Amino acid sequence: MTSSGIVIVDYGVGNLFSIKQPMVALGENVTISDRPEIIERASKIIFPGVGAFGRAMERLRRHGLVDVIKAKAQTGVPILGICLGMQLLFSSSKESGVYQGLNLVNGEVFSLRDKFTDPRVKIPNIGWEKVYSSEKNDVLLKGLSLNEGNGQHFYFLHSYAVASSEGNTLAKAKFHDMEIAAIIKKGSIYGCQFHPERSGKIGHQLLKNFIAM
Amino acid sequence: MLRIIPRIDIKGDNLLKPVQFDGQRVMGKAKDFAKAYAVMGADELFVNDTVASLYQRRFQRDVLEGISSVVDVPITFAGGISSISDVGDALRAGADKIAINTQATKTPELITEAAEIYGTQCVVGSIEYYMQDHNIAEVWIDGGRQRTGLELIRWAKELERLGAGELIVSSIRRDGLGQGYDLDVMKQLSSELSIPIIASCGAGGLEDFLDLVQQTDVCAACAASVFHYHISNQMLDSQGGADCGNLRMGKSIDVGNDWFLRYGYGGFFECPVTHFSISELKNFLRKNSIDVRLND
Repeated sequence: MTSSGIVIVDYGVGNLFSIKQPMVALGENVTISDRPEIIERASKIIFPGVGAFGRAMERLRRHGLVDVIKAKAQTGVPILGICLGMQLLFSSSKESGVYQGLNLVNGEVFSLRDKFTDPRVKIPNIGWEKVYSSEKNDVLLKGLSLNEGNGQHFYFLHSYAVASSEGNTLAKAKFHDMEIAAIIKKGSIYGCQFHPERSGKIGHQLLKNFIAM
Repeated sequence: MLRIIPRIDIKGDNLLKPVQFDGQRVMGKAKDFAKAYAVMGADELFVNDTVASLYQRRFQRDVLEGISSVVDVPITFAGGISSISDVGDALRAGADKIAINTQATKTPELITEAAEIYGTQCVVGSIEYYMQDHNIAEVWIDGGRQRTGLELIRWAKELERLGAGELIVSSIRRDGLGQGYDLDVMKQLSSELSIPIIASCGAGGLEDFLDLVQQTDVCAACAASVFHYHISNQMLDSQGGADCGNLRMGKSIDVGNDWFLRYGYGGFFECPVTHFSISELKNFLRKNSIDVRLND
């Protein structure tokens, strides 16, 4: 069974172009697919990051992808969820109703507006925030210097988040006075709340680290 | 943190610089400018197809893909987005956010539908306005060609209610003239809405950005002249000033073809814009205690 290389899961609501580009530029074998038989043979999986939680889960179900992805997660294949993709890894989300996620990582996704009702707090969270970590040795963080100073800037674009107090937080970022999970990790499953593919050089370095796993 | 967003108005694959949305002068290839800005520290890019709505044609996918492929910062794409499939296509072609102006005034439900399917965070309401009599700001569409009778503040709130996650607000009157942002309007909008606001049109000097961030609650500053003229001058220098024709030579600021200004344009005879790099701007802001993303 030949590997399908890195597979970017196409569940109909992602900005796939910006993720595929840097991979192609690095000479990687990368496929965009929604087919279970392709995803089954992936050497690594990426969940891109734009859209609404409920709809995304529904599409995953409709394409028959929920079980495939859960099964792949068990095999220890590296998985990288980006933005919404990270949120889908969790147990549930309060995005327009309560939705079940893939439940690969324990925890709940919450609405920023629920926690910050003051209208002077502008939501969605759009822009560059410093991401920091006390971890020095994780492969994904290699060369990023997230444990130095206040960390590094990455680009965020979201209205929902995971609290950094949920376990599995590898790196954090601040949204006003609250710490949110910026990078989560459970085994070989990673998630970035920010968009590494749009975070300049350092974002591309993170993607490189993921590819090198 | 204040985001600095160069505005790239395009027609085909050319970058244009208008004045009050008129006298659109080609300054070079949009892709070249986009690439330079991403490297030079732009926090995002705003790419605006200036004629899509007016010509009633779809955005050009290959132009967007071309720009998207050479930058590693987010792109907000605007111009002729008039259906939910346009939204999906633009996102798939490399836009991170899409901005809708004209169509939202005709079928406002498009904003809601796009927000439901793709999330509010990638739906930007674009508003372009002219101050009318009695200090009322009126919304215009089709790239500043068509009046709507809609009042700016009320329409802005409606866009927020419909599901836009951000607004980019452009003062047509101030475009390209370097007289500063419309601080009164930006202040009012940013205090009355709870979604981020991007101010656009009017920046002519470093202080204009400082005024904007100190006197309003906007989250981002979008500007064109101050950056484009800086780049195009560097391009000229590197070419040794060769062969660009009379249109661009001999002036300390390359404003492109300024013929239409020589005889006056609504009382203006020049565009008093100073130009600078993004990092020069960010260093200036930081010196004034404004939080910006700057690689030291």
